Order: sequence, then structure tokens, then C-alpha cells
Amino acid sequence: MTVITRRPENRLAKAVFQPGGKTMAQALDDAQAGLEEIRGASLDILRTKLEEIQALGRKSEVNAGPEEIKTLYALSSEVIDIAGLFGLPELGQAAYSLCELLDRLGSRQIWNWPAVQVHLHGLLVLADPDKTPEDARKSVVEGLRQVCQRIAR
Amino acid sequence: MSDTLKGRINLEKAAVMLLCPQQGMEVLARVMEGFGMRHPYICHDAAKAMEICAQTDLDLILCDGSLPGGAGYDFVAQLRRSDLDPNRFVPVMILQGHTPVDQIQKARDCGANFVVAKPINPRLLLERILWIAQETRPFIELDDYVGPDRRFHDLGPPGGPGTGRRRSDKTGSSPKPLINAEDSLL
Repeated sequence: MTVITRRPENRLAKAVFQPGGKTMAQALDDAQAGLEEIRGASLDILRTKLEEIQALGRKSEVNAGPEEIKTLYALSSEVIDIAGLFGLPELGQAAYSLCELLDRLGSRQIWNWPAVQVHLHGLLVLADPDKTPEDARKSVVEGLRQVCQRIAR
Repeated sequence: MSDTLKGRINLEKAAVMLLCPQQGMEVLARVMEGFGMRHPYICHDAAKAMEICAQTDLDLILCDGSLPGGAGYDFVAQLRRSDLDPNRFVPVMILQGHTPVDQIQKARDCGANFVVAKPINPRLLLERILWIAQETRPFIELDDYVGPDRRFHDLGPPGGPGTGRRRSDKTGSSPKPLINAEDSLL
């Protein structure tokens, strides 16, 4: 087997270490400010995704094929992207658990409605964190994680 | 926060391509603009990404791993095996929400430099960009792999030795950290 080793120029290094630019603290502050500007729109998208998850989940009570699993996975993945960024970490963790569950179900070509259903309920609870104390939210996430772990890979 | 950070970053002239589904692009673009990126190349599918790579010399690619059908991974593998110099060597960071082991392995084996878990944490993303800018890993070409040398655990994670998740991370040396080790989020 032929192995070719090269040491190409690191063009990124040349770019980012040029004089000027901004301090890293300023860069982080500016990034956070940029995120704050889209907080409202992002939370609207999040709500839409959660509604789509619930609707598709309810349709899949008896069975779900690869396409439904793929769509649910994609929706849950989008919840992960947004929730943790905007003060809903437990919701993001629950969505992560649902992704993990769907990944396991999909790879084994099985369906487990009770496990999915409890995740849907969990997402509903965690989407409105003001109504649930932090300890309870963390318990919900831990419970979902345990449900997921019971499905073998 | 500011007293724990060192140095400056200049992305004003950096050619950065963001390959991401429509939904996630706003968040990624806002964070990168906050870092100082001025002229991003934005695309939502691998075909357009390859087109941009053929036309522009890039300094960094941020690629969302959740593109349908694993298209992000396929794009990176295709770019690495292309004859598009210098872009086939360009640093690539993959952003991934759900990160099971097989996805991480896929990201590693397609030739990406780094995988960053979502949701995007601006501080972590900045650390990783700085890390990639400092890294000196050779570029390897094999029959079944083209990309940065995958054997780099001895280098330690960004933030310097002693902050890693694995015991073996602590034994190596890393590029000089630009962010204090005690503030590392690893």
C-alpha cells in the first residue's frame, strides 16, 4: 500500500493571525449578540419543529417505516441545534435522546411506540421549562436516557 | 470573560465556506460573523459546495453533518480525493447534533479535521478554529483514506495538555494554547 505524506500550507493560520481583527473576548461577545438577534425567530422555528414531531409521532403509533423514522430524526436533530443555544438545555438533551432512540430503532428495523411516546411527552414537558422545576426536568432527561439505553444497538 | 482570553483573531479576509441546511445556516452564520467573518461562501448542498471549491481558494470549511443522506461526509471525501489544489487540503470542521460513535468514525474517515457537537457553543467553536489554525498534522493519502493524519491523540485537545477527556491526552504536547486551559470546555 502506498502512503503519501504531505505538509500543505495551513492557509487558515495565515488568515486568522494577520494583524487587526478583534480580541477573542470581543469575538465571543459579538457572536453572542448575533445569536440574541435571532432568538425570537429561532424559538418560533423550534416550536414549529416540536409541533411537527408531535404530529408525526402520533401518526406513527402503530408502526413507522424508514421514512417516518428519518423525518422524526431530522426534526429532533433540528431541536438539538436550537434548544441548547437559547436556554432550553434539557429540551435539547431530550431531543438528543430521541435521536439516539430513533437511530437504534432504525438500525434494527424495529419500532417501539412506548419508548417513542414517552419521549414525545418528555419534549412537551421540557418545552415549557417555567412550569417544571430544574430537578424534575433533569429527572425527565435521565428517565428518557434510561428508556433509550434499554433498546440495544 | 475577557481576562481569560488571549490574543486576537482576524477572519476579515478569510475565505470561509459554510455548507449547511437552510434551517441551521442562520445560527452558524451569525456566530461566524460575530467572530469577524466578512465574506462567507454559503451553500446548502454538496453540488454547490463543490462548485465553489472549484472557483475559490478557501481557508476553512464548516460542514453540517446532518445534510440528507450523509451528503456532507461524501462532499468532504470527494473534495479530499479531487485535484482541486489547494482546496483539497483545506481544513474542514464537521458540525453534528447527534453524535453516535459511527457518525464520529464516519466524520474522521471522510477526511475532516474536527467534529464539533451541536448546539453550537461559540466559545468551543472559536477554540476549535484556533486549534485548526495552529495544527501541524501531516496530510495523508492512502488507497482508502485521504485527509489529515488520524493518529493525533497524543497532541492533546485545544487548551493544552492536562485538560483532555482521555488519559492519553495528557501525555502529549499541544500547540501553545490561545485560551487558558482552565477555561477549556472539554
